[in-house]
Amino acid sequence: MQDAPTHQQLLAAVALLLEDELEPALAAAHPRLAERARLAARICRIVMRESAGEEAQDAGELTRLSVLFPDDPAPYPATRDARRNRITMLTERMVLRLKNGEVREGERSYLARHVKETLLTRLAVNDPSFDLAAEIEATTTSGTKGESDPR
Amino acid sequence: MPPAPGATIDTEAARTAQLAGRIGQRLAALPDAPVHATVRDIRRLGHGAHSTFPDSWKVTLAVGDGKDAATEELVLRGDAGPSLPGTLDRAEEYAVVLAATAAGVKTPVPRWLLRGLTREGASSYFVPYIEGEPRAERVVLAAEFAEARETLPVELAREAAKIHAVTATSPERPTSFPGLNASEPDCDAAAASLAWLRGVLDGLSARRPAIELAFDWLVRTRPPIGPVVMVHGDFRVGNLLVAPDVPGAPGRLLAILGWDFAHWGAPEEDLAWLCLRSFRFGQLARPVGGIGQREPFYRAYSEASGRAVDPSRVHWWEVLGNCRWAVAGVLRAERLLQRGVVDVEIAAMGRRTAEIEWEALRLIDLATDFGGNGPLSWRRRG
Repeated sequence: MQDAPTHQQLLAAVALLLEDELEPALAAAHPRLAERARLAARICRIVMRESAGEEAQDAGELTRLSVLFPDDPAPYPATRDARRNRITMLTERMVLRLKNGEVREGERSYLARHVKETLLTRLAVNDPSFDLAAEIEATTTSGTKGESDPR
Repeated sequence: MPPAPGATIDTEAARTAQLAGRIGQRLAALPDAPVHATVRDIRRLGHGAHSTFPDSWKVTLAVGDGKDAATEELVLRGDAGPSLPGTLDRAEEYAVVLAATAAGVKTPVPRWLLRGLTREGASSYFVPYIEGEPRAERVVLAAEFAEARETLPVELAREAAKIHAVTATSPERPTSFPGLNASEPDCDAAAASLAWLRGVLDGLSARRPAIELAFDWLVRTRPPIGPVVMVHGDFRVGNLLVAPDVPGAPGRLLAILGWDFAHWGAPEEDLAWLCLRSFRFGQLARPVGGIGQREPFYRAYSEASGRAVDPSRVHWWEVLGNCRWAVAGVLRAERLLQRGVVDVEIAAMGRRTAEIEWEALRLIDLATDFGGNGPLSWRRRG
């Protein structure tokens, strides 16, 4: 265990330097470098959010995935790397099932919910300001029924 | 050990100087090039050192002798490193741009297709340099394009109609597109795009479940075969040159650039691509490139092309477009990271994929009126 400052504090120091000092100082004369400083600060913030919540996120993703594979019970992996390896392995199996048309009707909506839930956790880390609304345009797209209605 | 920064710059400067010399020699040997042309200035354009986009330079030529010499500004575009599957090389692109200019599309007429000028074995060609704003963010957001934004969507609809007037039977048409054979009667643009997407997805090192779900929906709801035309393939505000508003004259479209993804495809593909959320720069309520509404844009396209726009087809292509944009970004980031390129722009871009994947699934959720069956609960057809 290291002495203070923590990961969060170290990264916050770099992010503040980039956002509050470098970006404004570069904005007029070096706009491209200012933009790169802004991106670098954004990356610091991503890493801060990710490291704060990754254990809970990995656990959630793994638990949701495991429901799709009841015939493959396994003890909860003890280490972070082992959890991630299992997430990767189960995700590959899930995608393979989808590709091979082996997803049962009842499973499909669960699978879709899992994928959306996982995307939400990614977005919360990578861009918490992303607009999650279902309707984002002023005009609606309804009233234009397509020719491939399955009902 | 990495080279010292100075060494990199010197090598680049020396290469550019050699290129300038070669341009003079090669043009001197061409029957349709100016007789006494020398390179007065040459500067690299584009997207930075890690670009996988075509090599491009702005070249200022001095034409004629001594005091009477006139200057001519051109852009030289050459093949770069490996790019996305289906991307055209410069020789193929030259043929596309020729066909587009023959169809009256606003894009500069290409000149002097040459091999081995920019790199060994690489094709390259010149186009006249046009002064205009290439940055989409400025066109979408900046005050000096406010009037331009009023007319740009209709201008773009008309330009799209001209591009889409080029078909497999046009006298002036590109002959060597990779992939789809547009002269076959059962040629299916949607199926070809799905095959492309499948190929790229299978080549990625990590699985993308959201895109796989969207792919599954796209396969189930594939639209019936429609007309196959020349499509730009990257039709967005970021590939335009636009003149800003000046007192008494609203800004306007100067040129459509970025033809390296042109192919035989469905007209809706370009219309949908322009509407991708990623290209709206936060102006979500202006779906047409962040500058306009769908209905007037579709209407202007219908009037100019004589082809009705079916919004359900555009919607399908918009889902596909988001998938294509997402996998293109992932593939590019994967290749650069594998080559050991570490850079804030590439790193930040890699973490934006979830936004594009979300958008694809959001559009599918909206598709109840387009043949879906409610939020992410679509069923197999038939």
